[in-house]
Amino acid sequence: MILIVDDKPENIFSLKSLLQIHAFSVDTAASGEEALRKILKTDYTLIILDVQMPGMDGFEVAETINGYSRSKDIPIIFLSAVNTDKQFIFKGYAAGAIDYVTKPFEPDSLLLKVKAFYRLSTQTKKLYQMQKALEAEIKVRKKAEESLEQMVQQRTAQLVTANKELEESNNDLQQYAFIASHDLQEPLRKIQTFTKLVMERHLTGYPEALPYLQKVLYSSGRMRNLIDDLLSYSKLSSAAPFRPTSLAQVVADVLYDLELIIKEKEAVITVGNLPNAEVVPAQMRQLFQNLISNSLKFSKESVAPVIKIDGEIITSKSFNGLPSDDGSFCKLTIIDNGIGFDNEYTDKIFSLFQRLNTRSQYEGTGIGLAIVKRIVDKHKGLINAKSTEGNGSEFTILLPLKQPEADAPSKITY
Amino acid sequence: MDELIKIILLADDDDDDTELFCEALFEVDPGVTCTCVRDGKEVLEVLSNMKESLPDIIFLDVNMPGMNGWECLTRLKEEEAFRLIPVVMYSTSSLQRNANEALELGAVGFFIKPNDFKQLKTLLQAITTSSHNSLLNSISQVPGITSKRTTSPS
Repeated sequence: MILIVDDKPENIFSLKSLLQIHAFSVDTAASGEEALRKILKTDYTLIILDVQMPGMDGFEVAETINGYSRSKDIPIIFLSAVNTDKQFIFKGYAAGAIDYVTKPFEPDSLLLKVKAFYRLSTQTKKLYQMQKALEAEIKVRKKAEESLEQMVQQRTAQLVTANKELEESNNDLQQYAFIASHDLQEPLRKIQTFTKLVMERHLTGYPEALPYLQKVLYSSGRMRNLIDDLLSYSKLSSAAPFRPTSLAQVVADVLYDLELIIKEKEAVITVGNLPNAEVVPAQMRQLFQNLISNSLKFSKESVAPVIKIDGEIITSKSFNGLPSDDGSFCKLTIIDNGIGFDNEYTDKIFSLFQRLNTRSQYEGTGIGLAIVKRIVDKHKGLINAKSTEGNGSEFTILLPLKQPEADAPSKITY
Repeated sequence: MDELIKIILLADDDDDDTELFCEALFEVDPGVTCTCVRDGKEVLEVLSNMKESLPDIIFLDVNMPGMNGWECLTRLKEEEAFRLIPVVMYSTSSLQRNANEALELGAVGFFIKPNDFKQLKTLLQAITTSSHNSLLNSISQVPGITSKRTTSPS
């Protein structure tokens, strides 16, 4: 809307008619004071201001308009019959006008000016609105971002607490498992001791009692193995230091421990090149012990076990990793010619208490491979098992050669 | 004066184990005296009263109520009057850590309570037939014991 300020109604009338013909909406004020009051209430796009008015003259009005923040961007066209002097023209500009038209004016040229300023003002207004909208948008986004960040922080704190609680309860559980299995050994030992005592001393004349007591001994023996295995499994959670270790020596020790059963089964065991690596020596020993005794245990009835143990250094922690002397991982393989297992069970064999064979066929607690898996996990390695049922099995283990928290490599254990 | 082992002090709160121990000892050598107490505190009390005839060897169960085996062993090694009496720790625990700890604290051996009466008798046979000087050597021959001479490499 355009505001026309003039003290002469006839001037207002002619200008208003001209503008209205050209589709501008027009408001009018008959004095500077009235103009100021109207400007406070309405947003005008353009003001056409007569300079010569009684009371406030046009320049005073323009200066005041300029002082209002809501109106200082409204373009003003001064209109005057007198004051054609340049000095007055400059005064007009200083007060914030954009143009100065002297009367009598050329309607077409005034109209052109009005149109141009009108467009300019509309655009400025639009820009200003856009800027406001953008500012508001930025504010909203900032707020959202802040609250998001706050939520993330809260969530992180919650997770940290939950994690800590889990860790604690996990520790408790492991402690519990350890103590429980430890205390279970006590009564069991007594069952075994006193059963043996009765068998030795008090069975004369009662031969039929012997097989029953043998069953007691057999069962308690099985329970003892179970407890021992559980104990070793729960012990794996306690912190143990990594040390530079010769895996070849570890395997040699294990084979020495298994000497009797190896002889008994007439097993042929070949050991290839095994590297040195930063490991928990006792755990590695248990790993090989479990895997090799598994291979010995699950051998075919009439075929002597053949077990191949081999190792190589590879470039990446991948079962397809390429061999390379300066790689940072080692790949260990244990291949046997035993009864193997159905590949369908590959995922299951490393679970706790998972048994694939009946107890009458093969002794076992179902903990051995779970221990192996856990040891590999503790070393941040990978394990994988392949087999064709009835045709041997193959275990592959990947281990990093170095551990972040290893002892200083001053000496190699063993 | 290298005399044979004649007096044994046994500290164990488990009555069955104490009974078996004494029974095995009687079968091996009825001439050996065995004094039985139930915790570490009693060991120290009994020893103070025994002044004249201290035991030739002490067996300490690791897990006892009140003063346990570890504490008692430490106290014994601190007492001038008792610190030379050889101590064998025995326990249900099969932790290697415990065995090493026992030897570090000054025990002559760590023995896991056997589930076999014969094994217990073998141990007591070895002890009762040895003198003060040969004690360490004879117990190191007994299967199942960890002693200073047989500390396993792991």
